Amino acid sequence: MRKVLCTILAGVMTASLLAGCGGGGSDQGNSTKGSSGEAGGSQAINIGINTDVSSLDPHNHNDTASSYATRHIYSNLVRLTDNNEFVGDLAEKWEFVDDMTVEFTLKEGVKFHDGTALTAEDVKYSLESQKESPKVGHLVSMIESVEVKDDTHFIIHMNTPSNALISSLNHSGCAIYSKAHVEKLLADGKKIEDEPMGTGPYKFENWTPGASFTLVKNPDYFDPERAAQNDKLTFKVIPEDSARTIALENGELDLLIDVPFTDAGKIRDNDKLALDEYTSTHVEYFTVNQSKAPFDNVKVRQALSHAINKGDALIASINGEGKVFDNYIGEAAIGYYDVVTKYDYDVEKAKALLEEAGYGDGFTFNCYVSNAKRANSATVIQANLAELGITMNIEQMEASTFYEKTGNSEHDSCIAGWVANAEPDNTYRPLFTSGNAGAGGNRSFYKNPEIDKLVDDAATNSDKAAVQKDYETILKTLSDEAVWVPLYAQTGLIARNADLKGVNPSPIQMHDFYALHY
Amino acid sequence: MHKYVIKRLIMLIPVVIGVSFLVFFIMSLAPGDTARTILGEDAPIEAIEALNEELGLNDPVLIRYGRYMVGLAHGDLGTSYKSGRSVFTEVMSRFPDTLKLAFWGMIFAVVLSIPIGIISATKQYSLIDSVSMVFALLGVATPNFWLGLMLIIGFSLHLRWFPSGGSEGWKALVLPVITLGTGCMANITRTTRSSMLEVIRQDYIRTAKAKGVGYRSVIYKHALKNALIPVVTVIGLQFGSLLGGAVLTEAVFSWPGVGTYLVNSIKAKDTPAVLGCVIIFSICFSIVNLCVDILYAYIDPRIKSKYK
Repeated sequence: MRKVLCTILAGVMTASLLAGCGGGGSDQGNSTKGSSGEAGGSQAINIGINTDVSSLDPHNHNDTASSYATRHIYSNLVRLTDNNEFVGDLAEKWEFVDDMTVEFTLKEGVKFHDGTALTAEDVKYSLESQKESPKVGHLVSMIESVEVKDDTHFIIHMNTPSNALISSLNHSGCAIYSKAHVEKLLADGKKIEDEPMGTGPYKFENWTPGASFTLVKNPDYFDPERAAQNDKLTFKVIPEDSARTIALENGELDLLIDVPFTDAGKIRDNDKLALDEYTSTHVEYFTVNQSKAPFDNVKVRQALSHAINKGDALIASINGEGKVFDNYIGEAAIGYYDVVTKYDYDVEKAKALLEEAGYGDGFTFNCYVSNAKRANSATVIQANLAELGITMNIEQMEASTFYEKTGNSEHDSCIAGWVANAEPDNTYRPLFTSGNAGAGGNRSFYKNPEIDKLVDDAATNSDKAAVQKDYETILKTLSDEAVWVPLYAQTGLIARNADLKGVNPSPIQMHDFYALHY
Repeated sequence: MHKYVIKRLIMLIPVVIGVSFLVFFIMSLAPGDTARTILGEDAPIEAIEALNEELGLNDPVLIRYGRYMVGLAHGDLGTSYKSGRSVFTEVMSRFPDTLKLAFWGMIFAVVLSIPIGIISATKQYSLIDSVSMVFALLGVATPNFWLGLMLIIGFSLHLRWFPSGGSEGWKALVLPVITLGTGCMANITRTTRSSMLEVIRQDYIRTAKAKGVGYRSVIYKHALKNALIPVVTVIGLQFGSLLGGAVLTEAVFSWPGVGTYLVNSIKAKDTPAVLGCVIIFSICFSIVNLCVDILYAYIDPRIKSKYK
């Protein structure tokens, strides 16, 4: 028996050790291959992100991490410049024939990564198949049909006048596929993300789910001004905040996008690293549910606006890496105008307003938050409101629960955030129109037919001056009625190796990495 | 013995049905909107409704469960709501990394803990016993993520010996293995020590010593073999939990394992992905337990006779 046991144990141990060594050995082989490639003079940039890609198919995701991959592999018809202007990317030019018809001309000589030429048929195929996508189909809901005139000319017919068409075409969901490539993949029973291929500055190399994805330079990219200045981009997924910063400090990363606020100071103090700050469109706000008393009373809302010390909330939640804010849309966003009514921190004024509203003795309500950062803001607000005799009970919950409960009007108040994208209608409509009260995004349950009308007009009116006036009126009304207590605007942070050049942050967090180089 | 193994493998079927039933219904009771979580805060309500419809989430829970079980009976673990990919492919792409981490973590723990446990027991109340028991206590009490971060700061940031994360190459394995193995090591050391202490007080050990059998022979042949049953049980349980419970270690070291995938899937209310992970974990756990039971038979012939 003893011999049998010894033999079995020895056998198992040897087999498993060999198996283990085999695995380790092959991994080591891979890593050696990678580093020898780098030693050969090529420039590989390692970028740290906190969440993994959910899909490499532009029609199958609507998240920032996935867009880092797809926006570099694919191109769009239009793109947004640093000055918030839309210019042609694949499109040479476009012209509004009337409110419902836009004629596009494509750039000549654009090639997909497989060497085939881009044609208007590819655009038609991409936009029409996008309409079927539950994840990004809504972006092109205004498109009725795409009419191809020849290889480089096509017409988009809309089903309703819309100012959002051009800005939507810049969204990563509106990337242009190669019709022939996609049809072949689908015919072979594969998915688009199995072999992503577009006209972008990078080609897809590999993706290890949960770990990293790598893109390599496309030497035949059509736009020399925006061609890759490095040979390879590797995005490493590091979910843990401290581990991400350490990876930058010890040289495993060249660039860190999701910089933990608590580490910003440490990075600033490190001579070998640099911290780039940019104005993002990220706004954090506290809002009350106006479908419930006493929050239907404008005086109560104004009292809350005066009672909250935004500066303290800014420090408590993001270590002061931002600025206190009074507006309803980020400063760097299209559709931002500095016209809002500002409410100073003034406890006496707040008390007087509350007295006028008939709530001098205070009241009790709940505040829902979905993460620790917002719970910290809530704690400050809780202390501020206690001075007015108001009791606020904080309930922290998971994000999906938060969306459901606030969508169903179970909350009295909540703290949320918003990152505006390139289309102002995508901010104003979900957050402030009656039809979107609840799950649509309007967690204030604010209903004002005047605002609904102005949002509709701004979305469809082709007169730019009229659109600006609409948005200014909306902002003034929202702030007069104290719909939110805007808390702070979060500063965008990108950390990098001090020698790395070419960082070009985007206020809407759609950063480009083609220019990165040493 | 063969019959016993086959019987135990057949028992996996009710285990999988029970586990899938529980997880499916708990997931359906949990609040949260899957489509909203996947599409994000800025998606319009029509897009949310369209996605819920496409994923079949508007159907009653029993119909969804029935549909899932029909797929499962055909060996299909379903499609992830979030990524649209096959859950089996997603889990299996991460499983080798999880297995590698758990395996080496266990080897690290066993290789260190059994000798330490034996020495502690044979030299009870000596300095070496006290020191190793203090370390065992610390090992059990130290949170994984804290130990992981300390190791990263020491060996990755300052000494630059090992990378701070990732899973490429043997160097990347060292710190996560130590982090994961330390807790197990402490548990196994304590179990080995107490089990050995019990055995070395038995009459047959005294008899062996009285007969003049050598010290090493008494300890390693007579005592250790009899003390192994509880130790093997603990090793089996620990290995099972390492397979599914390495979430914090995986997060700290950016290790692309199944644990992180499971947690992300729970957050996204991605029921097929959660179910797939749990079913695969439960099968692994059952198989590890079966291996432990088979090992009993080789360690203790009395148990082997019961399997017949």
